[in-house]
Amino acid sequence: MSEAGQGHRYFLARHRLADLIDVLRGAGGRARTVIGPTVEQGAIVYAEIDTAADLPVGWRDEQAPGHYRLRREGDERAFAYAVGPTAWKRHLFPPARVRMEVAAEPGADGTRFEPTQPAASATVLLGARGCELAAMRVQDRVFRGGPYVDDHYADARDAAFVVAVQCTHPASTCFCTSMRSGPGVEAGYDLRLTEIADGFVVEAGTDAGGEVLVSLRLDPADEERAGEAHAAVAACAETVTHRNRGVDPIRARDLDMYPEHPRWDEVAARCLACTNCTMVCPTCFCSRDVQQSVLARPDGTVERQWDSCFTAEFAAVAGGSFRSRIRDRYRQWLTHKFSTWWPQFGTPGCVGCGRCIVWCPVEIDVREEIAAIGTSAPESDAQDGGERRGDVDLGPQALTTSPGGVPEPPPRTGTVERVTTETSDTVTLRVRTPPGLEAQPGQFVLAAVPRVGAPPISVSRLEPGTLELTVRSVGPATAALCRLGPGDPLGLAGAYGRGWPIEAARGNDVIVVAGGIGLAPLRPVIDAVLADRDSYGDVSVYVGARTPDDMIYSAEIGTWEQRRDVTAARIVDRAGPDWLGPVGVVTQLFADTAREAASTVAFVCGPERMMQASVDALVDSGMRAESIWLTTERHMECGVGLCGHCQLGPYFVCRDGPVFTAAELGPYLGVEGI
Amino acid sequence: MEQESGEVITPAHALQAVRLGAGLGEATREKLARVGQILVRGAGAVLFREGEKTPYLGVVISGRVGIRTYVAGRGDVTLSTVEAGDIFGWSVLVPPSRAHATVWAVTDVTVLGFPAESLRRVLAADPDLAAAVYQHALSALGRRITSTRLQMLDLFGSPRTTEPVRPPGALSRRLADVRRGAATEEPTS
Repeated sequence: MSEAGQGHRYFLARHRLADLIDVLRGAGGRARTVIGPTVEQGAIVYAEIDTAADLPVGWRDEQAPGHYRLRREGDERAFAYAVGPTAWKRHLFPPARVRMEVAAEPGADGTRFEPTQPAASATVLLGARGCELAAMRVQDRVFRGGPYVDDHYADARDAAFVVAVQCTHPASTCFCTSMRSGPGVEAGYDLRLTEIADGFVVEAGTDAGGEVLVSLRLDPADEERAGEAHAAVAACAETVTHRNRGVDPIRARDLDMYPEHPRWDEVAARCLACTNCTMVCPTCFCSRDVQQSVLARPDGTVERQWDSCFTAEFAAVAGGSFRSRIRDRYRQWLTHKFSTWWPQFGTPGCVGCGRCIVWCPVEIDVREEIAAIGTSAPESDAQDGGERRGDVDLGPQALTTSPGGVPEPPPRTGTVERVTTETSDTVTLRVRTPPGLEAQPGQFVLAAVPRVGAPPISVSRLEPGTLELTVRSVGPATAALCRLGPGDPLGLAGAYGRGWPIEAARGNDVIVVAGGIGLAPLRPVIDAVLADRDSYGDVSVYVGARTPDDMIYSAEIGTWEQRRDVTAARIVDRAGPDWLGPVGVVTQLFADTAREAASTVAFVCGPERMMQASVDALVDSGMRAESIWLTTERHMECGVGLCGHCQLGPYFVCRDGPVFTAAELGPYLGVEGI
Repeated sequence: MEQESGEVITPAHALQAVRLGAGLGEATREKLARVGQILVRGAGAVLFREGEKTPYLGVVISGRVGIRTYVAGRGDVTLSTVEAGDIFGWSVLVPPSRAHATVWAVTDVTVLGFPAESLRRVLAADPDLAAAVYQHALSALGRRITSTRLQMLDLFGSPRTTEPVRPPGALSRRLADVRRGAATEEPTS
């Protein structure tokens, strides 16, 4: 065994490749499914293989922007290609999987949300390239590196035996050396193969890999073969480096500094938003949860499917999409890959495999785009990017995760106790919370209605054993929530997100600015402050609404107005004949009051444009942006930072927010397309 | 006019207490106050009507004044309100000095009014005073335009607007500020 340990090179003659596959399929008495490269529909894809004959022996790939062709070379080489359209994520994070079974039978316990349990079978990933192993490490960070993990991905990853193949035949679209991900394979493999003229130089990276080599009874690779293997990888690296001299991923880290670069418009004019690049990308991880049901049955499933930030629906909330233009979506994708991935996960989101270039039907080449935007920013748009310089490291050490997160929890069933009609389209549900659900002011829950969906709803009141959710009917899911009555079951997942820093506000003057239903997430702040009134300085509550009839918690606002220890005022955009209060925008209520910057904390919630006006007014009155807290809305599917939908610049709103300071959100607040 | 305390409000006192007067030197303020008049109106009273010659520039001393217009089928629609300290009747400063809306007392109000002719005369005689009054009026108008735009967006009716809200380049500048660790200016107070 020790002879086959790590660091020793062995020679596998070409005719014994079949033996290797046999051993892989049954090594150690375990039956493994071998997934490897094979030719299907004119491309080399990863699929289940039975024998060495299934490998793409004698095939070469020709790859260029928007171009992929296979050519039969006729030799015996099995791995003389770069990468095909399928990435390993198809097997580790499949395009669709059932995430939950949802029961919706009558009775107290009739509504249940049961997560499917991971049950990955032992699998061999045969033919993984350096860039692909880097992609796995990147996805490890996404799916296993946070407080919540995708346990199906983790299970599939743990069940995988990786046979890496070092690249010797790069495509013109490869830029792995720029991203430091290849063509060699440094770690993360059980076995490492390098193809040479008469076979393979093989090394074990793990004990499990060593066991396979022992079973094969291989001879050590002689100096000549070892040298041939080393030279082939080195030549490949030189070729890739030479072709990509202008590709600078460090400089590309600053891509998000140029959101108004004209190049975004130029590339958007070509981009079809077809989603191909995200589908073939080995690191793209965005997903959506789709409700599946049969009309005649009350139960159903929730299926997690790949999603793409290039679709119009991806960033949609009720009333519109935050990225309505293709320009916005391309910018989001490219800046995420090269810029904002860094603060989220500590690495770039690109590994240089070139798939997005090859499979783009209009030949958009990310290498050209990052070079054009990163090096030719117009003067007015230019920033000093020097301060963010660092080094790309997609190596195993940099990407080691320390698993410790918990699986994404399913909703637990609560019961509606009371429904209060707030306005013509808004109700407040008082819900008896299921055991274990704890929430802080400013956090949100996913409120799940079987077969309909689970929209994120801010908690609008917290009391022992119950919480309140104020819901505006703006779409099918919220409409279903608004139709619930006393006694109805309701799924609740969470509570999630960063809440309001109420404790930190102690001793300070407190200003609460709310617009429309934005008062809902702020009401727990007001509750908490009034419950401990002496711990705070002056307390002011300003509420704006469309009309007097659209004002939620109207009677409660009246009680705040009555208090001598609270300054409370409300204003409407449109007055009715009976309205004798102020008419205008909410900033009119407080813009003229000077603030003590060091001792004032503001909490603001409403439409983004209103929040922006409020922040401007508060800053103009002397406040610091760091002391102004906002809560913001984005499309959310998972609530725990795994689905990718709620990105706002470097943030995941669900995980890093929804409460942010104005200093954090300032550059992005109310900006179209971010 | 007497306050509840029994103290008589004079135009000079009233002007001193509001932003318009606070920005003026004492002598200038007195000059302006001399043409001012204290007006008291009960809730519901119309101060002046849309289409009429604007009779005076007003400053709300107490109470709430409404700006409204008549829309056939909808009746009188209050577009905005003016609170204590703010001005109304700015059209008196600009020919043809016609009121663009009806001004009415939403609550009982006390108003410091500067009649049109007297005001024009005193402003024509003192360019510094004129500059101060015009600047104040322009500032109030700017705030009102901004508010009106936000109201027009109907933000609470629709969850969001699709209009860009920052001019090109502004985002980049703010990004740069944040990256440099200077997201906000030093406090001004």
